[in-house]
Amino acid sequence: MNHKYSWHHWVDYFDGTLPVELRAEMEQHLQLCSECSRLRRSVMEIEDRLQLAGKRLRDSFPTSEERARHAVETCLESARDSRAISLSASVQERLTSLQAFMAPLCGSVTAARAMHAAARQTSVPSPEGLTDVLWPDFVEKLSSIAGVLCGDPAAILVSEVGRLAT
Amino acid sequence: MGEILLRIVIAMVTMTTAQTEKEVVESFLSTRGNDAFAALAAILFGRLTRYFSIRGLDIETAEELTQDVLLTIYQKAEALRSKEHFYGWVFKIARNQHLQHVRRRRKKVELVDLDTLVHPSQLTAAGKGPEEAEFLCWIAPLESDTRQIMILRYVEELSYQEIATALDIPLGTVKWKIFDAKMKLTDVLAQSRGRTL
Repeated sequence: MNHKYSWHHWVDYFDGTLPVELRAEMEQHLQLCSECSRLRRSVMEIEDRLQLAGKRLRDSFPTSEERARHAVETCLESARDSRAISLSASVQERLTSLQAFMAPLCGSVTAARAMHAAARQTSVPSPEGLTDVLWPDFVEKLSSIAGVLCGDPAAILVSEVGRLAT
Repeated sequence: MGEILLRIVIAMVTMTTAQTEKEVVESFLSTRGNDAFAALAAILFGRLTRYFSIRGLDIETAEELTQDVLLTIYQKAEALRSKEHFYGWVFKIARNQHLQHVRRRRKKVELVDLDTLVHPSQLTAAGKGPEEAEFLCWIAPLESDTRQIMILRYVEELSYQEIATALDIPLGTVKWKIFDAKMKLTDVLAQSRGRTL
């Protein structure tokens, strides 16, 4: 850029972000310098043309409300599916926590068998089939089994761990 | 399905009557709920399909990629640190989706050109007038990376910072490229006037 103003100054000038004193000084220079004044005029004209042409292009892609609605619907369904997958993962984490808690009390094999038995009593063939809805019932059944295997304190603890895991 | 449809309709009506675009974005980022997402998606759908259409994709592909972008927004919004960067982040996702799409189509080509735009004549052929294709004619003499910046600035109306985020380039580079482009276009305009005189 010629003269004493850099492109940074010009960018801030056109964006209106130049400090007040510097802007006043630049305006003064522009009144005296025909070359800089011509540059300002040309860039402002280009800016106006680009904005207008950009708007025309933007407006030339109208949105079909019906298609937009369909797309959003599909997205929400996919999002709901992906959330269900993440909830399943969460159930798996809870099962791991419960098994890790029960293993020192009654042994890991017995803990695993107890969880399978509780799952069957909750109407699913295995713990992996559990859902959020079935979880409280499953914990209650598991707590009863833990009570039979290891006594009432274990039953209470299993119940609490199962509840806190949610 | 019926519940979702109702939610979308309510979200669209709510958005158009009461909430500004900024409020819709803020509502989604603070709640990340389904209603807020439906309102946001209704706003972004048109912008994103246009983003892909301008890059030469047919409407079905553009809408498919738009859905992928919207789903990513829904799932990853928690990772967005600053809501000021929201649109930059959105268009960064769009660019990545476009890249993946091009890579899927050209499996054997490692380097892909993301900067190809629809030719103005294709817009005219698609029933759009010369005025609507004017912007693409204006930016045609510029470098391909600068054209992308100019589209984000003048068609998508992104700020300098949002463009920097979207394209993963320094803010100063964005400012310089836009200023330099305008300087070049003043020359083009002067030359075209010289020819018509």
